[in-house]
Amino acid sequence: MYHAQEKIVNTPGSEKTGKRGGIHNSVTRTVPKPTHMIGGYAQQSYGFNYYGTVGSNRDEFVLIRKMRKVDWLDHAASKKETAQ
Amino acid sequence: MKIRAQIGMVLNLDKCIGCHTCSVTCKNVWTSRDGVEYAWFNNVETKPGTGYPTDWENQDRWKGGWERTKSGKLQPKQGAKWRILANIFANPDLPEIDDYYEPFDFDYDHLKSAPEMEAFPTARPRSKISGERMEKINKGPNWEEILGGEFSKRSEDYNFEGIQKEIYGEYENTFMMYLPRLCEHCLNPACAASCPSGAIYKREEDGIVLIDQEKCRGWRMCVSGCPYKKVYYNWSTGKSEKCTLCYPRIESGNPTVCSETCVGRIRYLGVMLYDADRIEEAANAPKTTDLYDAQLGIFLDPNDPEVQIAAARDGVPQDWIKAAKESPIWKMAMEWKVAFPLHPEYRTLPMVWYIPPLSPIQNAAEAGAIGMDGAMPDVRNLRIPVRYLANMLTAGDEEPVIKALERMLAMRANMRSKTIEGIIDETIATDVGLSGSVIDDMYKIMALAAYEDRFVIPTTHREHVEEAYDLRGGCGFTDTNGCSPGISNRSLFGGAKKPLKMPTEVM
Repeated sequence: MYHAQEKIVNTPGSEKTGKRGGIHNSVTRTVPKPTHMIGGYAQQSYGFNYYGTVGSNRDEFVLIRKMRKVDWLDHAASKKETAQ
Repeated sequence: MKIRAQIGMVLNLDKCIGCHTCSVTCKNVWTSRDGVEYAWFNNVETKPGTGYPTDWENQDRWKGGWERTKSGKLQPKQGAKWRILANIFANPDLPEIDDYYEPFDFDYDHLKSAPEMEAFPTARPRSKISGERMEKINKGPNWEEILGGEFSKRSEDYNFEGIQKEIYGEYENTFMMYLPRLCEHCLNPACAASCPSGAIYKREEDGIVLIDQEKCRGWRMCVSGCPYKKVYYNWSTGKSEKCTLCYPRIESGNPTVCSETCVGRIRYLGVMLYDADRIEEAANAPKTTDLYDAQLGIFLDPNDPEVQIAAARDGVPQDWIKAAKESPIWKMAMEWKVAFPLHPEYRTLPMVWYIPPLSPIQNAAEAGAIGMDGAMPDVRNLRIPVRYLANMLTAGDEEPVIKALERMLAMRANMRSKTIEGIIDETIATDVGLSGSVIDDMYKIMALAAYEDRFVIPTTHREHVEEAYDLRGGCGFTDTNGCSPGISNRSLFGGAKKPLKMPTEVM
């Protein structure tokens, strides 16, 4: 099975964890679209970590909130220099 | 009568899966260079949607294409030559970069060059115009893909005219289709008519519309003049560019890059013979709904011996006449009447034709959920409203679209009856005005779509259009620098060339 590509492009940090939105194999790797949240339609929740409209697995509870502040977590480890 | 031959294209939208392979291969070959980052000679839109550039179908806004004046004269919608000249320094109908989108790329290099960081690095977008960081991408060449965005915005789609569209915003009633678009290589090109420098020309031998890069002065009247918005201004060279129908490939008998790479095998290329003397009359039909029929009227039957003689007399090479007889475009547009020109109401007589898509209704029809017309589901009950397709392909005339959809359904029913039930039922074909052998032929070309059936492209006879004596023994493609050893300092498109590093063996 093909695994999800790494979550390395255009991904801001998570406000909740302070990390970059989960590892590459986490259940909610997708950047959600409104149709992911429409619910109840089998054709939109057929896969799990698979190509297509992933959304999330039926067994997972996913809380989606709009970000208050977008933080790209572009700080160097020392926090003295900011990576550009 | 003056017979000319043109390479036409048909796209079978019923088979388009919206994979964008055509766009990406076209981009890689033609527009991956400075100045045209935003330009897509071929793009695929999800319909309904406002498309790329936004709202391109709204000619009240862009003034593209032609119009018939009150006195019955045909003139570019943006005005006749005096108005074009008057606006030459400030064209009011020109789309701006935000009407397309701000091209961007991601900082991939950052992924490996980033210093040690608290979180693992991410490749953020950067504008290809200013080079500045973009905080948020808010537009792209396919921003509405697969019903992305709000219905209120998408439904500004011009093809909803005459449709009660609110119902299609409901989740259960929504519909979508893909529309790959490229230059239409029109018989009556509005871009060529709008060009103050006379830089745009339609080649006599194959009908391909090109911009002479040496004559173009960058006035951009073609950009607004083209109703399909398929001419793009290159800000780096200061000249306009457009799809060339991959003419170097066509000349040598190969399909265009978009056609060659099409995964769904939806694209067809072939020769159409037409009467050049009747173009103006056809483009100037009084009613817009007559334009589709008027365009069909100028094509000439390549199987008619008189047409063959006249074509040869007018300089159409014999192998082109032979190719015209086998042309899949002729079959689909003229014999079976399943392919239609895109927006004939622009009066440009476009030569890229579209087969309208069926929508998935068969199961619902069998369950009695929708109306039946004899043994076949009623195409008026298709998920995609017939009126929507008609607005796109026949200037709103539903009858030809209904007929085409019925023929496509019959093609499927015929095959189902043959292979599943084992019955050869001639009435399926005769009900839609075809015969059993014709519907088998349709199946072969439209469904099986073998490479040789899709692309019937004769090679160009250069000796007929220019003095070939000097070319004899000459050198090949040399970037206009005479007989060079194949090394030049400039790239084909101007600007410095990337150094070519030859791999060396390390042993």
